[in-house]
Amino acid sequence: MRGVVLLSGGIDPVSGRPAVPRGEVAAIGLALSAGGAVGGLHVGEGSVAQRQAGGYGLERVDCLRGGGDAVAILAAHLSAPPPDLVLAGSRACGGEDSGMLPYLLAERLGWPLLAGVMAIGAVADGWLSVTIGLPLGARQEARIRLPCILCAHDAAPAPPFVFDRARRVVVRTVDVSDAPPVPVVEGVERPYRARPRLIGSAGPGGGGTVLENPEPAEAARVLLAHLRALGMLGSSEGASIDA
Amino acid sequence: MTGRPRRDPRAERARCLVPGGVRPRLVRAGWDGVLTAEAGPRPPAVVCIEEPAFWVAAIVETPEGRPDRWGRQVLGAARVLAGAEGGVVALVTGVEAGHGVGEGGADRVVVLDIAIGPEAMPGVMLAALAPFAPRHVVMAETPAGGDWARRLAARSGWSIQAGIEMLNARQALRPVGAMRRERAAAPARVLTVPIDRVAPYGGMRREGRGCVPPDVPVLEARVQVGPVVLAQAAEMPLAEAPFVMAAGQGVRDFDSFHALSRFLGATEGASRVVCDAGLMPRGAQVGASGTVLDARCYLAFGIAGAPQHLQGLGKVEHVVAVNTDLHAAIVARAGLAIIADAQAVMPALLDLLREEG
Amino acid sequence: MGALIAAEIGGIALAALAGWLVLLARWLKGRPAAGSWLAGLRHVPRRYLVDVHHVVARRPAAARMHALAAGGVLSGAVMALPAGLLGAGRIVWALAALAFGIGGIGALLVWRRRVPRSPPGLSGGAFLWLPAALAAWCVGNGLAALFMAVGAPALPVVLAVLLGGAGGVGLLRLVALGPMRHALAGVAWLAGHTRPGRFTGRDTALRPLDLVAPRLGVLVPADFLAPELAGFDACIQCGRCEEACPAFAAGQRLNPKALIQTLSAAMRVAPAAYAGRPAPGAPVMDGKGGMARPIVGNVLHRDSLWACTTCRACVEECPMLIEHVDAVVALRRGQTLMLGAVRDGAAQALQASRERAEPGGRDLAARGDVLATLDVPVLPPGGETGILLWLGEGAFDARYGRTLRALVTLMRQAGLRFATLGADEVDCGDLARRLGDEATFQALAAEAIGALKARRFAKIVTADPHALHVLRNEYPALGGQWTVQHHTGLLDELVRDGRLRLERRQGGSVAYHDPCYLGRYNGEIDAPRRLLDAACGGRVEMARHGMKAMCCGGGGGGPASDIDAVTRIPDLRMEQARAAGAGVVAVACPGCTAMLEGVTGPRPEVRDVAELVLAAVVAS
Repeated sequence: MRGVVLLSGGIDPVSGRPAVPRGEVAAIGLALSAGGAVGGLHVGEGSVAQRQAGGYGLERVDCLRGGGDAVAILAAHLSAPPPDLVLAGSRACGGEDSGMLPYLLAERLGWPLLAGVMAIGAVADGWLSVTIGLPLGARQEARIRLPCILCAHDAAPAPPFVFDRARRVVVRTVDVSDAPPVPVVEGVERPYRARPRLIGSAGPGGGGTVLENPEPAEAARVLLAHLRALGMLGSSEGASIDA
Repeated sequence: MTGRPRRDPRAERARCLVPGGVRPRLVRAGWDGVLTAEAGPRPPAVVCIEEPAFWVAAIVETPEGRPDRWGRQVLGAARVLAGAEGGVVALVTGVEAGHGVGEGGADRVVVLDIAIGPEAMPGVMLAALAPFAPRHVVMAETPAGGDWARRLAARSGWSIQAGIEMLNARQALRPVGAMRRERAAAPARVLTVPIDRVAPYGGMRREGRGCVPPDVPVLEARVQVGPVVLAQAAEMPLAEAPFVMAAGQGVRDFDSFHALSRFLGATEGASRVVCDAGLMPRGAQVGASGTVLDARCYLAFGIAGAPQHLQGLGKVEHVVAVNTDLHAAIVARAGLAIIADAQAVMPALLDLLREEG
Repeated sequence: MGALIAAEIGGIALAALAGWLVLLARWLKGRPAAGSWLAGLRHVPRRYLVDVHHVVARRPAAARMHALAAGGVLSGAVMALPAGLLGAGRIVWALAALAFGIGGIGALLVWRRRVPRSPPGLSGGAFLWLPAALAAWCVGNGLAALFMAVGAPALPVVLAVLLGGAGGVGLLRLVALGPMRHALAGVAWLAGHTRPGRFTGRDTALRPLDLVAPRLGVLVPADFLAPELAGFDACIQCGRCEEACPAFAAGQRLNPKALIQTLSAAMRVAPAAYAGRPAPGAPVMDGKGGMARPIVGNVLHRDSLWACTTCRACVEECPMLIEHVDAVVALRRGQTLMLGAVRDGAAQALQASRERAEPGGRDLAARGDVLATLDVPVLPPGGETGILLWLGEGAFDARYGRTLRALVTLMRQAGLRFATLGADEVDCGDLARRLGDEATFQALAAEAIGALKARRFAKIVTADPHALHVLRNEYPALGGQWTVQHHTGLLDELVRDGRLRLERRQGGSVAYHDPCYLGRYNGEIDAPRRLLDAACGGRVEMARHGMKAMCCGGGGGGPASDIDAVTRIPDLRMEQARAAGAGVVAVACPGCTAMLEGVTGPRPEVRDVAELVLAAVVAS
């Protein structure tokens, strides 16, 4: 199976340095687990991040150099000849970061897409079986027709970084014809400012309730009421008693 | 009465103000569900709106029958965008869907079949939304909601702003460029909200009138999705578990501890000392040299909270501690600290849980 | 008759030489070392008699045994061989007999070493035959020489030569196939020692790796330098390293002696059995050895590699001057750079080092937050100051912030002009380098050197001995040379110059815990003690202190790799402090602070030297 991993600009949120986003590392891992040749695809000039992607197991990264809509450029590049599988991270890191690119690409190519993929299974009759990761450790099995686009779950197993691979990866710049320009994104852009989340009654800062030397029964009652109020016991209580 | 406590939005709002003032209280923390526990009188009136100037749609997941905290915030965001003139239509997916959506701020409710696969979903949504021609569609940036929003935007060609961190009727603000920059712009056609970014609707109850769901257009399915397999708390990776219950030196009776974790549906953790002593497996160790948690709630029995241990609590929202030492570091970190012997509290808690069945 | 003796001794000597050539041929399959190995032979006598003896003599009994046995065996042979060949007078034979006699006493001491009870650090197995072989050689040849001296008839001489020859064959067997190859390999190792700087001073810096070489680090024995391979064969299994190793003491899967023996065995398809203590709890790795066969995961357990704290205690104790830490780092380089096979925690730290220039993954701009209340100036590029304060990784830790604030307060009181790099201070790369990620280390080093070169200052001061070692000793090879001082050195200087006046505080007794990277790596063990003597009431010493101090467990990426242990290293160290009767453990390193503060239960207090000095300072 021929797999292609989409690589974004790759900026680390904390340092602003080039870095392969976690989801894209997971995507490389999924592609490798599917077997066969795995290449990387990036729209724009290659940077350190693309070379680092090689460290996670890509043998080759093609950087498509051309102006205009990245989706159109990718769609044109992927249509001849199409790979079996296109993988992406949950969302890009360093640009618009909307997570739209794989969806727009799937729409344009007319391929099916699944997001949150944790693992890739076998191929049977042109159908690929995958495991989808849901919140709280839940899992869902699914089958998808090839060729398809898969967005890796951030928690999908990541392959190790190997410097020897990173130094040997072939990063190739491919000049492609310009695509129609994307509409200008409106709005005012400025440095990010962390905003506090919504109002609550207690938080990691502490300063919570302290109950000194209560009777065990009283302590238990307060504890249970508190956990219930936090929503930690919820409806799963009955089920967990049976379990 | 169903036994489920009713929300009282006004009481909630009052609790969110600084004491005696009109300024909202700001806490660098997540939302605390304690607010919902307050029972109160039901708002008397219901707002009904027949012909709004425009519609705003909210897609609400109700996995447990009614909108959860996040779902109510999605409705709240839709209400912000609708303002006084607009109406809010909620597209609800989930079991026994439709409860509590009016309180959340919806004027109309369309219940969608939960079994609709991800591939068919944008088509179904577009069909359901067509009569309303919504100006905006708001969804939660959950795994499912985020997926639907992007499918919808890609299918319809509508503009999208994913992961709004601040919203009013005129502009939406979201991080871009690897969370290092942010952009403020007029709200797009499709918006997704992360948890605890937009307040739930706090006004008078809306009508929440049910509307007929559309006929689902049959698609050639290229994706087949199987049933969801829920993870058992005991088998959940510690780093992913939402509710962790941990034992420290103050715990000696591990049978009670294990029984309690089963009752509470919590994943088990432990302090380093307990792991060193071989009383719990090494994989259960919480702390800088063990697992760093991403849980919502951490229930610590007999743990003093050494610096390395507290480092392992990472982003944990709610810490509950049972410890004999009032001056233990974990007491300062806890939202609720009970200064008592964990050995005595655990059986009492077990008794209480058994009593309640 | 003389010819017979000469033939016997000469034959054994020739056979030994042939054995040496066989060994040499194997070592030469390793990578060529810089400099001439042959030329190094001229240093061997001095290195044996001065440097090796210096270490051996720390245990006088062992030194005596070694001098008598090795001296007697060799000098007797050296006298008897020409005497037999050229014919000599009775006096020469008598002297040879005397030498063999001394060797015989040595053999007795060798025997006494393991009888009646063998110390746990010593290996058994083939070693049990050594006293017998030595005794036969010395007694046989000694009697033969004696008979020659007194002019005895032929028969006794022949019998004596037979006995000596039997002993010689036994020794040969132990040399060629057993652990006594130490004798032959030792010569080669000392001639080609990979750290010649050790013989003229201190040489503890890791060597930079050429990152374009096809094979980075070591995966198979042939990837080691040829002299290093000889070094592994030079191990005599005396067990001093394992007695000093903190990981071994904590029950981690590392025994430095077993490690070196494993590396020696890894060169051979059919190695001699190892009869010493293994690494605690390590499963038997019975893979096949060979010059081109993988080491880790085949003959060496992975955990052995990552348990090492790079504290150099084993190197400090090794009488053969073997470089255990170099071997560990070379193997780690192979695992990390060629295979990416590191422990999970270490992988995270390396990724953060690569992508955020900070192993903890924190924002570089937040490093100075700990000093926010003290308003320490940040030196912009092109700026000039007296002292550049390198904050290090500890600055991100709230506990260690107290230390840094104490240091800054003291520097202010002494009227020093200093500044930090602010957000331009990247990690020095210590962790990445010790974990074998030379690529990330060199990238970080280049960035740090660039940031430092863009500013002017008289010297760098840091409270982190790991940063100190990297900046002072390892950056010069990469083009960055500065005067780098540890904060204890600076404070000591200030106190001695009278710029800080201290008044001794009474209180519990204080024990100073030497950081490995300040003590063993840089030889600085006196300045902190002088400071403590001036600042605190009673100072006590732990049994292991100074150059022999035990590691806290925090070095070499130990906490990041987090190898399973029976007990924790800092718990052991804290127990030693308790045993010394200390009420306060004085530290001088962020790693030690974090590790020792992590010890739970009632225990001596952990205070940095700077904090104790600040408590004792009086207005001048």
